This record gives sequence, structure tokens and C-alpha cells, in this order.
Amino acid sequence: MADQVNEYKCSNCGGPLRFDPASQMLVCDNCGSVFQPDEIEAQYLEHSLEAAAIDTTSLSLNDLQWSAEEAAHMRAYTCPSCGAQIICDEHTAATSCPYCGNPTVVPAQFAGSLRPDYIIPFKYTKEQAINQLREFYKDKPFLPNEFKDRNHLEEIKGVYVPFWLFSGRADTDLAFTATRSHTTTTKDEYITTTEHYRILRQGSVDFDYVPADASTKMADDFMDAIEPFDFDDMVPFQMSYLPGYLADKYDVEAQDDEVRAFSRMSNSAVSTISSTVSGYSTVLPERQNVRVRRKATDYAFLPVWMLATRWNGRPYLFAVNGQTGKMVGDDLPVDNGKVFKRFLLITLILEIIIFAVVWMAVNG
Amino acid sequence: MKKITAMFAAAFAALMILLTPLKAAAVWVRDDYGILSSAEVDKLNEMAESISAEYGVGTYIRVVNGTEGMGIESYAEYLFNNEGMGLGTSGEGVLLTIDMADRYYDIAAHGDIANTQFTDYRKDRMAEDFLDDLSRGYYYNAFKTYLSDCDYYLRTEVVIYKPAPKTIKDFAPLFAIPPLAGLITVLIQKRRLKTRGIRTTANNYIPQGGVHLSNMIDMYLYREVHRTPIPKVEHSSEKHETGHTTINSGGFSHHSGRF
Repeated sequence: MADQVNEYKCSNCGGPLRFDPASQMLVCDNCGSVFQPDEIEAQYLEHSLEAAAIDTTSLSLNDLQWSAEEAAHMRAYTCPSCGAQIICDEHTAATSCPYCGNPTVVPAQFAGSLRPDYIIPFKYTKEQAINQLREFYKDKPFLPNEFKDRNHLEEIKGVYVPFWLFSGRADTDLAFTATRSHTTTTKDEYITTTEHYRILRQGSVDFDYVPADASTKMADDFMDAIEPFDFDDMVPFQMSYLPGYLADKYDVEAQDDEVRAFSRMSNSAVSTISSTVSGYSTVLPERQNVRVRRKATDYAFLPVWMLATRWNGRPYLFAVNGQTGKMVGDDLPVDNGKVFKRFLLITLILEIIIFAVVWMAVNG
Repeated sequence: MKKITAMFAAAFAALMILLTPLKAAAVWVRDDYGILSSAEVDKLNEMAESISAEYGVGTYIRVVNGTEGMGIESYAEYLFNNEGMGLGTSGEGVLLTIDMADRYYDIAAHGDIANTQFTDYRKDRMAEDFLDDLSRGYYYNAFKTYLSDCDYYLRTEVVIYKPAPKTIKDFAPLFAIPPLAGLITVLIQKRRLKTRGIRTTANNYIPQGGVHLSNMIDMYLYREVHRTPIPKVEHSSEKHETGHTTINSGGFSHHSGRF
């Protein structure tokens, strides 16, 4: 395995560089130098061409004391900073050395077709992500107080999650039966007139970059819930955005995600085209034909902060959209005492108000 | 001298009151459209005269062919004033006007006694009593019913209905609302603890101008008409005598409609 890792180093002091979401620059924490991602990317492109000719230090998988199946899914790299061996799974594209903490990128994971087309750089910093978690708790009145107080953050990591972005057009052919009714009143009777219609709607709806996460490590319901992403901020992929974050290459093929993305497009196309049917008393669908045509499939890295906490021995996982700050999490515990107290309070206040109004109506 | 003048004035006034019903006696009921036989008119006249004499309130029926563009209520007032209807100094009278051209009817009351006895509620009841016969062409029966009702309501004192005072018990169902509202509120707030979920739509990813409608047809097929009879309101506890009469600036109160 020609496994090589890149460590983006400061050209002034040799310290490790990391991508800073606030300034959208690569910064050196040792000397405070800042660099444009493009500038560093160009330097390392040159460097990697030179390095390609050299047999880089790597660790043979046979040396590991793991089963053959486990070893088949593991990769070992040598940290260029401290020389330690970094063991990670076969999909890891960016990580940090567990010994010296320096961020490292595995360029081999971006070779050829594995190279993402786009990336949305992180906009939310680690501190902002932690702050989002505190804000998240505020909006949950039935969360146990002990959970808020003693639920300590165990781990936070910024992850570039691989996503497939599907663009397409949904050709839609819909038919409905509808009625329009009105009632008039004469001296002796109510006359209800019902007009029956057949409604046809044909058209197409375009979709750009419908995301579907391409990593089995990320739960679909987490990644769906942190949407939407704003693709106006998306830029062509550069490895220089990765230092300081974790990243995996995709392990779900595009065609496997396509079904789910096309289903979303189909549902939206039907509801969008159906919304043009208005002014009727009743509308019943009669025919729904939708055919989604693929225009493009792009591979992108999208930014997500993953936060892990533990309470009463149970782990709780949270995800923050690294671009918009939208937060979702595991189903949180419920304080039933708080639920009952809130129910009692609302009931009591309303009963008092109603009693006062009724008393005034009876005696006033 | 003053005493003699006062006595003459009193005698003259008494004579005028006595003469007034005699003057009106011949025109209690008049049918200008010809829907009643002369025998029927005579019978109705007898009834009307008897009622008028007994209560001092003139009871009249006029069957006309159009209202000369005045509308049924204005035309009834015009007839009442123009023909000198009404007894006593305050012109006590009740007039049923039937317009056969446009099939409108109107009950008009005038004077203190008439407006007191023929309240809005009572005029409404009277109309309900004779409208069925009137609509079906049984005119004599309709007018007889009207005169009978006049007799009945002139003799019957107005009893004002007062609903029983409400107690807190009457509002008992309202007290079930707070627990329901409390339950709905806590359930909504509890749902905030669940934030993850699979998305089934992609509306956020439709670009500006990304919706193209190529065919939009709303085809009319056919029409259905359903007729439902309006249930008749019974003379029951649903409607109550309130003792109220709406009197216009001319001193008339009306109840009118179509038949």
C-alpha cells in the first residue's frame, strides 16, 4: 500500500496548519501566520508530484495483530510530523495524529474519481457549535435539569461528510377530479349546486443538488434533519480546506442513494404542481405519473460538527450543520414531573379565567 | 259660559268617536282583485266589524293588484292613511294587505293598542297561521284565520317570556376546555425533544424559475343540483314572546313577505 499522508505545514515556522471557519483561511497556531487555501493547495500539489517518486514510509498490514477481515478494512499511515503510526479505516480521508495532534490528510483518498467535485467550507467554529448545543437545550422545557447540568460534552469533532448531490428534472403528469359547490336558499329549500371538473396538469420541476449522505457511519435521519445546505457557498474541492477536520471518502455508491433522492424529487414535484389546482371545494387525485431524469450527480464534502455527550450511562449524539448552525440530536429524555406540572399550571390558569368569565356572565 | 262651551266640546268629541266606526263599517274588507265571492266578503266584513267594535281596533283586509311601485309596506301605510282607517284618536287598526300581482303580503298595525297587542312576534305567528292557505289559494280560509288571530291577540294580554336565569352549571362543558388545552400544549412541547427524521421532499432545492407548467386544463364535466326542504319552525319553546314591537316614524309596525 503506497499510503502517504500530507500534513499542511506553515512555511514560516513549520507548525501545523488548520482551516479556520471564521476567517476562511488556513492559520498556523504556532506563529499566527495565515494563508489562502488556494496558495497552500498550489504548494502541496507541487510537493505531492515530487513525493510520488519516493517510496513513502508505510506500515504493512501484516504486522498488525488483527483478523484478516479487520485488517482488510484498516489502513496504516506514518505521521510526517512525529513519525508515529496512524491506524484508521479504509475510508478515512482526513484525520489527526493521536500522538502529536497534528491534522493530516490522506491524498490517496482523493485520487481520480474519489476526488470530490465540491466542498462547502466550515462556517461555524467549534465554540459556536458548543454554544448551539446550549441554545438547543433552552428550547426544551421538559428536558431534565440534571441532563442540562451534568450532561458533559465528551467529544466534538468537525467532519466533512461525503454527500452525493443529485440534480435532475421531474416530468410530472397529474389528473384530478374536483368539485365546486355553492348553496342558495329559497323560502322553502336549500339548493346546492355541485359542478364537477376534470383537471389535468403537466409540467416539469428542476432540482439542483438534492443531497444524500454517502457515508454509512452517518445516520440518514441526522444528515437529513440538518438540511438545508446553501449551495451558493459551495466551491470546487481543495484539500487545503480539510486540515483540522475529519473526513471520510464515500462508502455508499451513488446509485444506492439515487433512489432516495429521486423519491424526494418526485414527492416535491407532485406537491408543487398540485398546488396550482385551487378554487375547488374538493380535489381528488386520479392519476400521478412522475419520471425523474438525472441531469448530474456530484460528489461533495459538506461540513458537520458531531458532538457526543453521556448521561446516566447512555450516549447522546448531536449534529450541527457546519454551514448554517442548525442542530439536531438523539431523542432526548423527558422529565415527566415537569410535563405534569406544566399541564397542571396551564389547566389551572385557564380554569380560573373561564370561571371568572362565567361568574361575570351569571352574576353580572 | 265656559262650562257650557266645555260641555259642548265633550259632547262633540263623544259623537265623533261614536260616528267613526260607523263611517268605516262598510270598508273592513275589500277585494279589488276578485279572489273572493261577494258572500265571502260579506261574511268577513261581519267578522271584522264585530272584532273592531269589541276592542276599538279596526281590523282590515285589502286585496290589491300591485302597489304602484311603492313596495308592500309603504303601500299598506298609504291605504291606511288615504282611506282613513283606524279607530279612536290614535287611529287604532290592523291591516292585512295582499298584493296579488307580485304575491306579497303585509300585516301593518297602527296606534298604541294595536302596536302593543300585535307585537313583532305575534305578527310573525299570525302570518305563519294563514300563509299555508294563502299560498295554496284558499283565500277565504286564510282571511278567516287572520281575523280569528286578530280577535285572539286583541283579547290575550301579552305575556313576556323571560328565560330562566343561567347558573354556573349551564356552562359546565366550558370547564372541560382547559385540561384539553393543557394536554395539547404539553404534547406539542414534548415533540420538541425529537429533532431527527428522514426527509421525504426536496422543496428547498427547486431553483428560481425551476417550475415549468406545459399543460393546465380545468375541464367542466357536468352539474348536479340537490334540493333540501327547510324544516318548518314549530310554535314551540324555540320562539318566545319578547313583547317587542318595531314601530317606524309613521307609527306603523309591519310584518311582510311573499306567499
